[in-house]
Amino acid sequence: MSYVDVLREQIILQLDEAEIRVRDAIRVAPGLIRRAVEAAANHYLGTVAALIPDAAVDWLADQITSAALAALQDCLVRIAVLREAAAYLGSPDDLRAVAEKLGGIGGSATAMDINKDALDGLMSWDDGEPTRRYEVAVENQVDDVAKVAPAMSSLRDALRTHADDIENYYLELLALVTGAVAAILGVVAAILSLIAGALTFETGVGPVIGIIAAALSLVTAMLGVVVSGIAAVQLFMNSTQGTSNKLDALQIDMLEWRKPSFAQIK
Amino acid sequence: MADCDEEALREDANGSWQPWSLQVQKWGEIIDDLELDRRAFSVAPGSNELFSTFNTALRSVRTYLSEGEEVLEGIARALLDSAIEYMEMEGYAADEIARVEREIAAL
Repeated sequence: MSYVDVLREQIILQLDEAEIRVRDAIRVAPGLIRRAVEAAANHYLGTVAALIPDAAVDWLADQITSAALAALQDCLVRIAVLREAAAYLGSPDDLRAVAEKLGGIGGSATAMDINKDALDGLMSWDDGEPTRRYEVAVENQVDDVAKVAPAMSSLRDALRTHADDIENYYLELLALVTGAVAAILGVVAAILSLIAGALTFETGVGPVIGIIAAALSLVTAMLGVVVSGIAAVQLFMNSTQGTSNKLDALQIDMLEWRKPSFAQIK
Repeated sequence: MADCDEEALREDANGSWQPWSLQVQKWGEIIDDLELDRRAFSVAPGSNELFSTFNTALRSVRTYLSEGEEVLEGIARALLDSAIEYMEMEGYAADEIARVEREIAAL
């Protein structure tokens, strides 16, 4: 399992956990909220002797439930977005393995020593035009072989950079998901603790305000998540585009091995 | 009067240019054997363009190497051919010339 696979697994596990918690909250929240509001109403009826009509209890319970469920549904949407982001994956290991082979070709090309002085045939041959054409052919090969290593370096570097970009993307995504999951679980906990707090008659109307505040803070948090998510993807796109530009800069169209007149090419 | 060492020409051909040609051929084969599919680049935005650009560049480099392999082999062939010409002028035995012809055929 590659490094990216490990990161991805961590991301998916966190999202799975968050989704379970959110769905549980969606399942229990309506009933709990209704009971909490009723309990709070009964509590105030008993203590301040103010009549609270059933319609008002219904309205309040509906408002709180709607806000809570909307917030929780929003959490599910964000979790789905993050799951999609996690599916980008790719294989830095494969990219690096190929980069290694291309780098090997470049190294071998650099080591290929075409040296006129080492060619006894050339050094001992003195026959005018044929000799001159052989000499030109040798010089051409020195130049054309020398173009192999830079080309391989460009290809190798593009793959390595992309492999790094993928890993960085997942590292950022992991941090992003960790923060988002914490925010989501925080909202779930706030909703559930609010209900528990109301049921114990300890906190009065505070929980009602608190649940709305929690919903609002969730929205705020989710906006942050979305912005961060976009930033992570945008960063990846930018780096990928940069890598692509490097390959474009290779000027492949200009890469042509000259065919000296001396050579007898089939 | 031309000054030429036929054996030295053959040595250039068989000891340098042919091995260099085979070396370049090997580089091409390494590229042919590369296993890098679309998924390795991820499906993140922008990666498709990179995959496409990379493959275009790789194909161009592969073509370049094929051309180089042919040129290097062509130089070896020209040297052996020149060696035969000098051997014929100097009256080498037919079997000795035939041996060099076989070297050309083996390229």
